[in-house]
Amino acid sequence: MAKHIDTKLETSFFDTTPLGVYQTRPDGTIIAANGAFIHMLGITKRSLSTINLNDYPLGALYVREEFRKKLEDRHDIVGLEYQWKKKDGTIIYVRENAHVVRERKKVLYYEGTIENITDRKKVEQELLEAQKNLIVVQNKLTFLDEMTRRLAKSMDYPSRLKILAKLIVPTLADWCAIDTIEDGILQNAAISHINPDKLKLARMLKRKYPPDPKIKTSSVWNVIRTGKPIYIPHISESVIRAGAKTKEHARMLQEIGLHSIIVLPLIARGNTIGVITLANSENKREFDHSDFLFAEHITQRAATLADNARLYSLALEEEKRRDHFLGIASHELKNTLAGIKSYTQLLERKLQNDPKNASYLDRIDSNTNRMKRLIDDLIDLTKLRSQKLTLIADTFEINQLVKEVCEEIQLATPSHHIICKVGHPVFLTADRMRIRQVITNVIKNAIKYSPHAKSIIVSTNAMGKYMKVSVEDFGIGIQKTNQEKIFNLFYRVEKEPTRTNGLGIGLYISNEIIKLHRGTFSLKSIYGKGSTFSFTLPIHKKEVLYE
Amino acid sequence: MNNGKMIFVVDDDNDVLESMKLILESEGYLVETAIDGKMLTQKLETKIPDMIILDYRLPGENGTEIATNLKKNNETKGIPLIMVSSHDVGILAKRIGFSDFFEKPFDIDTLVTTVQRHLPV
Repeated sequence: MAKHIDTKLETSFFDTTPLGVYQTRPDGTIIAANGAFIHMLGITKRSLSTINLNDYPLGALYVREEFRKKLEDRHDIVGLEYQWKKKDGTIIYVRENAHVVRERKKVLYYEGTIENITDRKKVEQELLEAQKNLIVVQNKLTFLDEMTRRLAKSMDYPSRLKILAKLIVPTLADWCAIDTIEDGILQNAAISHINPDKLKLARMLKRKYPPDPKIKTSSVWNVIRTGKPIYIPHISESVIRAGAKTKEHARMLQEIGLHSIIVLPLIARGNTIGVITLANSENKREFDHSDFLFAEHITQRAATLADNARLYSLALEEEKRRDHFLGIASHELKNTLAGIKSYTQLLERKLQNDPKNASYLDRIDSNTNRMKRLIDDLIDLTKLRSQKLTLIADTFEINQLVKEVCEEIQLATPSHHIICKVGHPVFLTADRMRIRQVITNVIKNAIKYSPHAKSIIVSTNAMGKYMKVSVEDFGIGIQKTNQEKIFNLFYRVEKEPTRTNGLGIGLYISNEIIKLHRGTFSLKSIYGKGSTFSFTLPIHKKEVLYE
Repeated sequence: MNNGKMIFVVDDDNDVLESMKLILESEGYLVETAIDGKMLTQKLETKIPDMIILDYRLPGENGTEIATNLKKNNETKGIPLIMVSSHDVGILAKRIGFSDFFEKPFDIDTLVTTVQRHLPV
């Protein structure tokens, strides 16, 4: 006889607890059960005596026989979770603890508790869903990061597009084609296919039947015209045939696997620079809306990355053209100067007995020198700005070079006494011509900016790993506020000599040359007293100066 | 009145060619001119000079390319070569077989001294 446990003592605990409590016999009939148990089964108090837990569908979806075996093998079951079908058909999740009660070796009955964990299970499942979604989002972020990282490895525009197509397949699509549009001309830049055999077919397809602007249904051209993407989750065969030019074309399209398609514009700075086509074959699931949104997102980022590479290559091309032109221009200008100089000097030789007129010719001649220096400065400047100035390494004695320059400038400068204070011979590795250029520039500057002074002191100092060359003048000096700017491009001190010879870039060029040698320029100046410009050069003979 | 030494000058600018010819002839050298590598090759078929002065920038092959070919040929590899170019090209030219270089525009003295240094009379 089954008993509903509801005696006074027991009622307060057994009957009110939400935990189902029971005693059952091994054959499945119920000895006793509480209210919660009855409720969980979805039966009535009255039917307690008649039901048998072994009967499906009243029993658990989990077979009771196995339960019995496990129980008897192990004496108890703790925390067994399974689904239970109630009488009305609803499924609940329960968690059961049970143990065997024996008398000597004979099994008397089973005792246990059943807990309804449906709510918890629901939360668990929701968490699992959320986790799955999180993983999907993480994967998308990883893809975006990976895409940015891999694309950044190459500054070459076509390479970036090829890398992108390879990334998309097979992660996001079965195959992918990227076309670029430049000046109205559509060109295929990349194709990738999950099936390497079909890749050949894809290339042939693009070659033989490139997207035709005259075909109204050409999705690529529609996307280009409208700047809007096309998303067709399911393409029927009839649609394929309608878009095909010939029977062969239709056959190729079907073979390549055109079951689901997304076509997106690559838009950078307001212009459509290309089109990405993503397609899945029948073997893969159709693209859904979240696929489409993600594809849009990727395309936006990819467009910027690709455009950057494109702009870079356009800039490089322009720079090449400019450098080529500058080389020709420099050559032409110097040829012209050569013509002027040669004939001027020839004439001068014929006027040895006419010093006055000869001196006019000498003026013309020295102007050709001046012009040559201007041209050289211009070319040096463009090279420095595009980081193309190269140094030629040479090992030479620096003090000797300093003396040489001092003597040369002294010959042409009667107004100042150039005092040259050099030390013991020091050999170093540097570009001799460029260092000569720097020393010349600094000394000439010193003379120019101390027109009323009588001397310039040029000195060298070996300072361990560095050689220091200093040029001191006794002009009016440079104000503290201007001292930092003095090496800037195009900077010129105002109110200084009315003659503004040169392009004003000498110090800038000198500073850049010393920097390329891994040396430094410095300036000490007291306004009203004079200035000392110094630069250092590393002494190591075998040091590599530049890449 | 000449010193018997022959110099070929290669430059695509006529004024430069003429002035160099004038200058060197007044120093007693025999001078022939060419405007590019092709013309030089033609001339070399009939006579071998004692020196060749090459401009770096020429139509077709540039000065260094011409020099490389001259050095490969047994008949011409011993002829001293002078490069007319910018400073950095000149320094590198010396490292590949040119005897010397000078820049444009050049002083008459520079041209004469450089030639005499490598072609003493």
